[in-house]
Amino acid sequence: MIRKKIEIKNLTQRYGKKTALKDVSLEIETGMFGLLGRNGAGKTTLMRTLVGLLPVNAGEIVLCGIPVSNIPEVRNMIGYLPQEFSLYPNMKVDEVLDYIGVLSNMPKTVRRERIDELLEKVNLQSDRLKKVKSLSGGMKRRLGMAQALLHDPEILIADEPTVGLDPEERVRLRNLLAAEAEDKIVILSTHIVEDIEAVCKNTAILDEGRLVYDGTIDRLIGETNTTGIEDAYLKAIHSREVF
Amino acid sequence: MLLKEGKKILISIPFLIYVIVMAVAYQSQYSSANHEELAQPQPEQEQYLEYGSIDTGDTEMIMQGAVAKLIAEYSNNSYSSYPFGFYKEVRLNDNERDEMGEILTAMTGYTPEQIIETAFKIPYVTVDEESGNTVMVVPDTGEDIPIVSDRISYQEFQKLMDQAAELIGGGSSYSSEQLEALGRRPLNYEEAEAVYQQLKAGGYSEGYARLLCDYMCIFAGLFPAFISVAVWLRDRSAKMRDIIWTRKTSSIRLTFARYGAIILLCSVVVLVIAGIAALGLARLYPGDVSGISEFFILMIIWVIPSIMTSAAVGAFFTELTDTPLGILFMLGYWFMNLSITSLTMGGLNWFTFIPRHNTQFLADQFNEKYLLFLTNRFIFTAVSILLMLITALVLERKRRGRWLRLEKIGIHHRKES
Repeated sequence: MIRKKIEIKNLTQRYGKKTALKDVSLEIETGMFGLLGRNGAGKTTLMRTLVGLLPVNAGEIVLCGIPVSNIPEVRNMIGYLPQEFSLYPNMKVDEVLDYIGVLSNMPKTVRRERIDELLEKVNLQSDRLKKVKSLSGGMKRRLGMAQALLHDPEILIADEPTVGLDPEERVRLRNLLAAEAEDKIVILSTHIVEDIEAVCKNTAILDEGRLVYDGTIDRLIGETNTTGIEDAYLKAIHSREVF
Repeated sequence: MLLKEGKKILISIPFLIYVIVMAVAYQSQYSSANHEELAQPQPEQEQYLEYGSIDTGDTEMIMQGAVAKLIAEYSNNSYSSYPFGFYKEVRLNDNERDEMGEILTAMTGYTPEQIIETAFKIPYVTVDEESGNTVMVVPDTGEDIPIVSDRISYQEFQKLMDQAAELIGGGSSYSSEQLEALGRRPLNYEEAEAVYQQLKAGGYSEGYARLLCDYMCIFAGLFPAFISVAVWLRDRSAKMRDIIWTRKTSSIRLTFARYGAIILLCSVVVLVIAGIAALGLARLYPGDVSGISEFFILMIIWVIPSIMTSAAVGAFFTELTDTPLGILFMLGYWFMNLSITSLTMGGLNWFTFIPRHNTQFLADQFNEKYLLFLTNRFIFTAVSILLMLITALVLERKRRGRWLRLEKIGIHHRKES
């Protein structure tokens, strides 16, 4: 049986002369994993590399036993909620999910079942006939979650999913992600420390492309001699040490 | 996936515009001119204009016809030209007008004042029934304009006309390549009867199917590019690229589903028009129409390759550049083709994008070039499919982040967090 595990070894990613990720090594197992870092730290580059949208410049990534270069398999096992996304504004909620299901090569009966199940889960059942353009920001983000989970992926990657949401929607979305983490690898990339603290046991901190921490939140607080995750995070990124 | 893509296109504005354009083109270009039964020519008829005209190739006729037209335009200082196949009125400044006067004087021997005086009487060219010679007649007085061929050779005439064309600018009908068209004359009774019988022998439908396809191809050769560009830009404008690009479906499947949906819908529109035209013809000539299948077959062979090309060019350039550049390219290519192709199959070659045969007559001319026509259509079909394969390849590279480094840098610096 293939272990659910993401292995990243010595990953370096460059855009021209700019190095976005420097020699990053990480292992991520089933459960909720937080990826913290300031804007420009390299989080989105790492997310996009994991989902196959960027080629690996140097290093190695293996997703549940499959090298990231095996793009068709990677596409099948990953659900991705990008940081900046929208959905066809004139389509209805269930139409857009059905379309995404078709793009995921899902048979019609499976699509129908899965859409019902997910709309229930993200609390959009009563909005399924609404057009996407009429949804609020939070509802769109929940719909984004539904599309990412549609083909029941083994790995779910959410890039800054809570940005711009009101507190209630943020909690709702975090809980949705946490519920999925029971049997999936869920990576929550964010610069909002509170989100990580609320739902993640393990976290990694990126700063200027370098991995400055990888481990549990409790260990981070302990090793930085701080009292809370926020202070620990700030100390980690300002000390320029690797913990 | 084809159905899903088709549904999105069906309710899109570019497709609605395409349907309207095709319907208007059918009504204004074809239907309005062919809604009455074409009567058999009668010997006592004054003229036979509705049966077409004929290229005489007669240099005397060309010279007289061109000079008559140029005199009329000179006197009004209003010259018609067709740059890229579209009408444009040209007015010359005083110096240019003097130069044009000198050209006309060299051809006719008339002074500019005499030319203007003549022009008010609107001269026309005809054939003298008794002598069989070409004459240019000035109405009212019955006075003939001097025969140009008596004064200068055809080569000298061509040179002078090239000068006139240069003064007028691009698209003038006086350039030596275009001059032959000015030597056309109406058919006489025997000729009109012959073309009528040929049309009848083809069961009417062959001739009218050709005429319909000629008109439809002009518009179907351009507007699918707009639909295609809209479809290919939609993922980007809807910010859905990352969501779609990370899906399991292959780039080939996605590309060809979208392309196939465009072709299918655009083709259905022209085939419905073919059906309407065929039924209209069957009503016009009850019992005489050989079969309506010609309309559908010719529409598939003639028009659909142009739809495929137009849509493929739009998709290819949009995928390549993420801009509507495909529309500009297609417009340029379309204008250029329309401006260089003749109105009948005479000007057809392997790479004529919009084959023309703007008459229900002249079946011989069409059939003579039929193999070349089929080859031409096959080439455009093959090129379209090849373009779409490259489009799918470009998409796959973009999905893997292996396309245009500058674009990647731009996107990721913006999105970096």
